[in-house]
Amino acid sequence: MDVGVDVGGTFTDFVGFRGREVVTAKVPSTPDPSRAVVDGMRELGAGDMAHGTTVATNAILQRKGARTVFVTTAGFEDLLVIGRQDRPNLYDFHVTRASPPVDSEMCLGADERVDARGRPLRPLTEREARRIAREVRSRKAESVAICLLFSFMRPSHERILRDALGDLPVSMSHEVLPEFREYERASTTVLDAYLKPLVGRYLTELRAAIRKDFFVMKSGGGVAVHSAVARRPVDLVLSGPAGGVAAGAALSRGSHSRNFVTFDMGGTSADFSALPKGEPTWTTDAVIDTFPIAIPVIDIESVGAGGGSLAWIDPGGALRVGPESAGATPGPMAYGAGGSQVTVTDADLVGGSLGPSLLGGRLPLDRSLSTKGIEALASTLHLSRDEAILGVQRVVEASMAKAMRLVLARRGLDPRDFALLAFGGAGPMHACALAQQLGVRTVLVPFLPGAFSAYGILISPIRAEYGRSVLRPLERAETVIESAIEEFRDRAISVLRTQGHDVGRAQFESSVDLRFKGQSYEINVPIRGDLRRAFHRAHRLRYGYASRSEAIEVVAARLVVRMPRPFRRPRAPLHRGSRPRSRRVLFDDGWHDVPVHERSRLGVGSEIDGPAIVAEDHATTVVPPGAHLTVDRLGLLEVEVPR
Amino acid sequence: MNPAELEILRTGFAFIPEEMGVALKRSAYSPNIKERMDASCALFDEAGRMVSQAEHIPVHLGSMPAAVDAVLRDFPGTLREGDQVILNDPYRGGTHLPDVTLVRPVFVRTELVGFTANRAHHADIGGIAPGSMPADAVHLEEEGIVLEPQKFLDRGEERRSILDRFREETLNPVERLGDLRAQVAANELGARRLAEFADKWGVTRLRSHIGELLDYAERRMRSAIQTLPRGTWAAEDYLESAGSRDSQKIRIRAEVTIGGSGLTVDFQGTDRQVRGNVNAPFAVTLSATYYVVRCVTDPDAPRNAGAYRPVRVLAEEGLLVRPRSPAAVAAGNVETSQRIVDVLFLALSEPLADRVPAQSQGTMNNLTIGAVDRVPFSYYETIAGGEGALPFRRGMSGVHTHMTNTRNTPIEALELAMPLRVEEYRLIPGSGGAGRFAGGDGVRRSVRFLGRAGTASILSERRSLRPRGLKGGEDGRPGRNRLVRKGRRKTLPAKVTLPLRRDDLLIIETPGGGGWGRPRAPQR
Repeated sequence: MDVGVDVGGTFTDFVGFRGREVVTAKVPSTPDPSRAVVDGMRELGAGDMAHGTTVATNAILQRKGARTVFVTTAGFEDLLVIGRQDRPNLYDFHVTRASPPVDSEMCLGADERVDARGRPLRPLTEREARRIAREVRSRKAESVAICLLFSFMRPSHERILRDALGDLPVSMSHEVLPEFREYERASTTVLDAYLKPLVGRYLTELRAAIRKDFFVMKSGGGVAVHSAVARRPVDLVLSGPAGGVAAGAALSRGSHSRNFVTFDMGGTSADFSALPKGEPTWTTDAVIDTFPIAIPVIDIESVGAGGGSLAWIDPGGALRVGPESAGATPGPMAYGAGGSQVTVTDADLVGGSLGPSLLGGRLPLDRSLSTKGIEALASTLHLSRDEAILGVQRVVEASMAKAMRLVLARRGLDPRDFALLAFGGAGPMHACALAQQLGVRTVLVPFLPGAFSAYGILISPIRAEYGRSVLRPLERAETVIESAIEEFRDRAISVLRTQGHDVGRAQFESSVDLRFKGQSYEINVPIRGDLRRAFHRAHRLRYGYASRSEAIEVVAARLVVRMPRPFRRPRAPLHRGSRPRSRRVLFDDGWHDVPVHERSRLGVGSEIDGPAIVAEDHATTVVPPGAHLTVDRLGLLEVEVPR
Repeated sequence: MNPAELEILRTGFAFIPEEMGVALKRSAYSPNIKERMDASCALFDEAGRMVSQAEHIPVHLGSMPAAVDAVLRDFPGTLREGDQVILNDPYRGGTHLPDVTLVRPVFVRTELVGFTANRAHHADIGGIAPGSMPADAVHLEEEGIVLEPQKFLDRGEERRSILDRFREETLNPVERLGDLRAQVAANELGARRLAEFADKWGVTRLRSHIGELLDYAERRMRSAIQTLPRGTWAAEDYLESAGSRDSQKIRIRAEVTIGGSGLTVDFQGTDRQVRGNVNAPFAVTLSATYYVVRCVTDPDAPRNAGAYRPVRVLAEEGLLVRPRSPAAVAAGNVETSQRIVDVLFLALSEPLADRVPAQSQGTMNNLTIGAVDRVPFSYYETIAGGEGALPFRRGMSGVHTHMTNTRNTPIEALELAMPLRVEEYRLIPGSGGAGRFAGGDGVRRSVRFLGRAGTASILSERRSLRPRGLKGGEDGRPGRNRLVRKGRRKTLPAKVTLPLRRDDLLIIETPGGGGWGRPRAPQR
């Protein structure tokens, strides 16, 4: 059996299929994350694995990566400190720049220079390369990042340096990201080098423990075999939320090829990603801890709003929620573990949205503690208890609404044209109220909402991206583009062959980044038909016009390779007749007696009018008054939300 | 209104200009907006009161309302749906000429409910030097096209006369028009969003909601000011020069009074306006003042008209900080604004010793290079320097401080597009003042000109008067501008416009920040 494994901060989720029967498990995460993975795999008797991990992300945030040396062109040694010369906050002197993962004394300048046309103005000598190698060794480096100016035009200088460094792990910028903009390329390359020893160790040990090759989820969506990721660990950094997006994209292969936004709300944060017509969206502007990662990654907007987000009152007397979170310990007041501030979970519990326990009964909640907290908050704000509950819920939804608007605004899209695909522990509970704030008409709750990311990891295709700066006029670029794409394709095919895949099933998508000469930003256009016309069309869409006479420049050539993996969906439940219990739930218009349906008993075609609650092991769907729920033919809950 | 509704309202109004900014960045044409984000967006009510703002650089913080005031004054009841007003005249709503502002009235049916506005720095706006920042201008007209408030869009139609001026008088009209259209589109989007709010609530409730939001911001600001010590403190500092042929110091003096829940800044004692371009339009002076108040009180308070009700700024017309037309002003926005900040922090350094920084580099080191050659181009950059140390941390190195936060142009992007080569871009170790906390280091950026003939302008400050340390911290090292021509080095003035020849090398060294507190004795 194949399983998808999603390692989170608190729990590690497993999803697999025996035939069409879904098998899931949830085990506590362990300090050494591979322990939990191996335990869970054993428990399920699983064989093959696709794995999502935050090991790379945490290594950067906690500065636990390798002792890394950064080598660049002499005169530019401070590139990582200066960055783009901006400061992170305009008015608050307490907010300062994050310290780069490489200290200043670990930054070296090599005497060399290549110009903007790729000509070596000052060639790099063997002697200089040996000097750099000595300097690197004297600093006891565990890993080396090399980023020389214009190396994407002429990689030989970076290669000479690598050859002089012996068997130290090396990341070269012309391989990691062969594209212009030196700071973004350097930052990406440095993070790659910084992670390489640690991620390599982690993946090798995991490989030894499960005694089999396995796949790893990447930030750009899709998976790659663990050995490939170990060579290019930067691909892993923002992969956390990518599983849920991949799962959403997979649904669209059913009948759901419509516009939707994924909404994954957990304990500390909520993640949004837009899928217009069911297709994921990418960005090259991603950052982690203020450091750019300029490779294409799934475009996700994250906001510090989750079940554990704390409520507080600002100096102007407004009620605020988040981004501070109570975390897993002490957690919400309802955990009874010493939490003394109201969280979203406390409001949800007292308001009846949330049932009396979490984790399928393994974590009982103490309603009286939450009630005390809510009452104290209410009296400070001169509100009734009910107003305070609704206030916390609506305020956290307002901050999530902003994140969703932002992820759409970047593409000029409007929330009202989108449905919300809600999952994660708290997503389905807040989705309908969020939809109402945004003017969104439809909320979808997929199967396995509590383990949807793990499901996404399980079914994601194998994916690889190739790209290179080209920088020449379109009319003189045809052969360069062709040969770049040809070379990418050959490389991809040979990699897939050595991994034993049927190359005939691979899908290739080639594209180019184009711009008018002199413009500073480019538009990605698939290579299909007349490039000039396709570019004019795309330009008109974004800028409102396109000049016919201006020269077009090719900035980069790209190839994406996808190799589908077995794709399954859980069987939609048979209708077993729901015999709902009842619970008091607070909505905007007051308390209602609300039926609580077991999701497993709602078959395809079931219809329910709100107010109602649909409960399952790791999630609760709240259907407000006036809303209407149907179970579609794939077993998704589809809620029509009133305006 | 209850505290939760208030927060939802705040988030909602704050997002309108933010979304406008996203749209502007997405569809703009020039690196100045896309890469450097030298632009801001704002939302106003029908009386011209600012409701929310998304500024990327603090110098736009308090200067946007002047633009809408000018539009209200010049078009009393005469604007219609589909109109957008353009302006850059510093004496009628603008700041300096490269900052072009577009203002759009928002109607619900026929009733005016507010305005959307945005401002973006254009890399060239005509005038006597490419890049429109000539060092020796004394008259506004020398600095570029002057646009008094006028319709750019008349019922949705672009006016040809304005397009023609841009085509004839600016260096890269294609880029200019691309940016202007992006500015128009950003205002349209904001207007749509405000109209949606009006639809949802009705105009009467929309107005009362805006009123509540302004009151809320005022409350936050007042409650922060109330915690400050009461009293009056004064300080003065100097600009080094008004132009390349001038080395007369120019005094800026301010008296800050904190009393009850309000704060007054009086610029009495500041020198008169000068023959040169360092005059700061009053809108710029307001921005610098609001910036300082925000830093020492509540950095997160909403940016709206309510937040500034507790702040009074007094300056007589004809002063450097409130000049009369038609004095040149290009450097007022970018240089004088920094000095005003220095003076105000200096005045507050005694009562607010726990939060006021030592002086930062105090300049933006504006560098413009252009050529009207075979391939015309214009390049504008402001160069980072050292941040002044704080009572609780070192100053950052190689960073933009106070009134600006524009990003640098990537070296590779620059060299691919223009006949320029950057030979060095690094920190100058030790240029920050020593102290218990050291000031940040300045930067050296060396740029070689590879074209046939071009023009460079430098507008900078703190080339002789050092950024001061605080509480015993040492001063930062001043900056230096040099030209290397055929192997010969020559020091250039702080402000200069000069012709460039092939292979000329400009070396700009930016100032370090002042240190804070007495340095510890060296360890033996």
